Amino acid sequence: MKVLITPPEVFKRVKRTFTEKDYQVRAQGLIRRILRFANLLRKNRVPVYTADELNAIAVLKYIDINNRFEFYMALKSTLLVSYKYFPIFDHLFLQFWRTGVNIPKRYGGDSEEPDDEQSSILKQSGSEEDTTADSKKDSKKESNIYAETSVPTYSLSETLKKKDFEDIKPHELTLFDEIFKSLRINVKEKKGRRFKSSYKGKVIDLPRSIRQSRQKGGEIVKILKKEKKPKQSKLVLLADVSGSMDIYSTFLIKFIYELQKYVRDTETFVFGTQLKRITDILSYRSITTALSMLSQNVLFWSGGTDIGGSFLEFNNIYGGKLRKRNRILVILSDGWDKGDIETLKKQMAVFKQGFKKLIWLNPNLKYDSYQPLCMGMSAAMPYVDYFLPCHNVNTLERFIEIVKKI
Amino acid sequence: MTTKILGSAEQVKEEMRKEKYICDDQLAFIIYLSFTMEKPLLLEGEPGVGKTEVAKVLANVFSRKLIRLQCYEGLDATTTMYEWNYAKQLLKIKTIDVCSQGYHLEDIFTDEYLIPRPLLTAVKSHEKSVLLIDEIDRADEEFEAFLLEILSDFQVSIPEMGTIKATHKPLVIITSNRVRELHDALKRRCLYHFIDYPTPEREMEIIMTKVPDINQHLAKKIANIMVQLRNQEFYKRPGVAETLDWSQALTILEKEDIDEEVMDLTCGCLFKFKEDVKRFKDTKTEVLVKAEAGIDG
Repeated sequence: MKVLITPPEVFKRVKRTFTEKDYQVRAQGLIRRILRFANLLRKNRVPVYTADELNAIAVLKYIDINNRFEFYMALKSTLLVSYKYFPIFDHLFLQFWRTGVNIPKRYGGDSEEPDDEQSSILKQSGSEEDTTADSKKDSKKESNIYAETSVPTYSLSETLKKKDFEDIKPHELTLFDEIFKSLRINVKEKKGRRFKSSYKGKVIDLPRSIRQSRQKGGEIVKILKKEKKPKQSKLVLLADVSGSMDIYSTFLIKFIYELQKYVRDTETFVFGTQLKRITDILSYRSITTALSMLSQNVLFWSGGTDIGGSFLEFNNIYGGKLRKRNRILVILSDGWDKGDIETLKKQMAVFKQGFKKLIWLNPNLKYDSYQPLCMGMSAAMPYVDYFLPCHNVNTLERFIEIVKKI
Repeated sequence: MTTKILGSAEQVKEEMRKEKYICDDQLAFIIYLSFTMEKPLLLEGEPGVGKTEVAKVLANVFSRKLIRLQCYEGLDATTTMYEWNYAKQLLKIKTIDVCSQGYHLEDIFTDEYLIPRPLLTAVKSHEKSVLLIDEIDRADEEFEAFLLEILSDFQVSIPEMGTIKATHKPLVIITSNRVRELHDALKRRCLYHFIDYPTPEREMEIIMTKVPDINQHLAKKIANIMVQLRNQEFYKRPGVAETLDWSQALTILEKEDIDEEVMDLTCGCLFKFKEDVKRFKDTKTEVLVKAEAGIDG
């Protein structure tokens, strides 16, 4: 390892000889840093196993670690197991190692054009680096050579949750899918009136205990318990996929996909100028198939909007079956409507009577000054029980919390 | 046969170029790592970007024997690792019976009665070899489990005989078309690389190397058209293999330039689905214009 970890230019400038111990300290420092990098990847939901870390460290023996390209490739090939994670890896690599202007994709020069984002990150980190370099010059202490520059090891997913869907960058998409997958969608929190048998329950289930005792000749051997059965609110989702919702509809559909997977008997419809039931399409096991089927089947995607007309269609065709007092109606729309307002009002009134609760999710609610002024929204407002934003993951989580409490 | 020792990724690239395989720095480096660390290499990528070719070329570069295992659904241990030669064993038992000698079970479970299949052949080989496990995603998930022992320890356990450990570790190359996701346990034992479509410059170089009769201008144009085509949505996007077929076809037709008529004539080289051919014909003018702009620009 000694030959390979030759001090780079920076170290040559420091006029002193390097001993065996120095090399060891450097090697250990590097290994620690690689482990921290692996941890950072894990925090960002990239699966990295201990075996991968061992590989990454073993590989150092064979490469020239002062060569940025070799170092990058070595880490990439050992730590990653799928091409899915390449964009997020590149992003974090730049942030963590600050090796240069952009990702080294080949020997020698940089082949990739620096895109805006990469350079902006480097502008930030570059300034920090300068200051650390300055401080090194100032103090000129030996210990400072090994001092690590501080690296933000926060998890991207936390910030992503707060990020508006509008601002999501392509490289963050994979991470996003992971976040959606890990959303704990469980609306079964509220306890109902019925009981079910349970070991953990506190109430004695007398009928069952006695029935059980008959097997043992009337001797009560075991006291059986019961607890209240969690009650599930069923959902009916109406998602607006017209042009004005374009930015949000993809994300919201992904969210609905997960929702439908975890909440039983959820029915999903999309509307624009018409209405279409997509419950069956979203029940595909792979989300990519579901989305491609969706694009083939929903022909009015990013078109105009006729909220009232679509709602009327819904009430006529599916209303009788789905309008029940144990269901919650969730409408995802920004309320921009080109249809007849009177129809909309009438249909909202029907909804109000038929469903348990009405929730309206509106991405425009992110603006503090938002007022439901547009015709469609103001017409529907009086009938809505909960009016909530839905522009990032945090707000969607809040929506789930509210559903739990209903 | 002596195995060449390659000291750097640059050298790998150079040697592979001699065997008419143009690879980029990333692939060269990964191959270099794979044989210095003696770790299996898992190659993924779109169909027709030369994953299988890597193994073939490497066998030539290192002058090693290529042992190839083509995976398919229903592949099991008897066809991949080893099988006992039951007929021979029965005959042996019969002979012993007739000669009325006593026999031990161990007598018929020896090397003599073992039929080695690709994986065992690679492990038992007396010289270093290249083991290609092609299109592993076609095999069942259970099959991946058979591979784990070989990939991590280069050994095969035979219950009747014991463990056979490789004296010369083979260079293992696994390719996958991502028909299904591989198990993490398998991935963990390998170095991973994703082969992307080549850049137009590299693709042009590939065409020039593989189809030497072609003129440079035509090669450049083909490479540019391919870039345009791959940006579009096709059911199956054309890979490098299709590019080479097409280039070959154009040289046979002795065409100096590509126009819409030629594109119509030869679209069978590029697309193998009716819908794709139709889409190709619809968009060919646009593609041609853009590709020509690319050359001039």
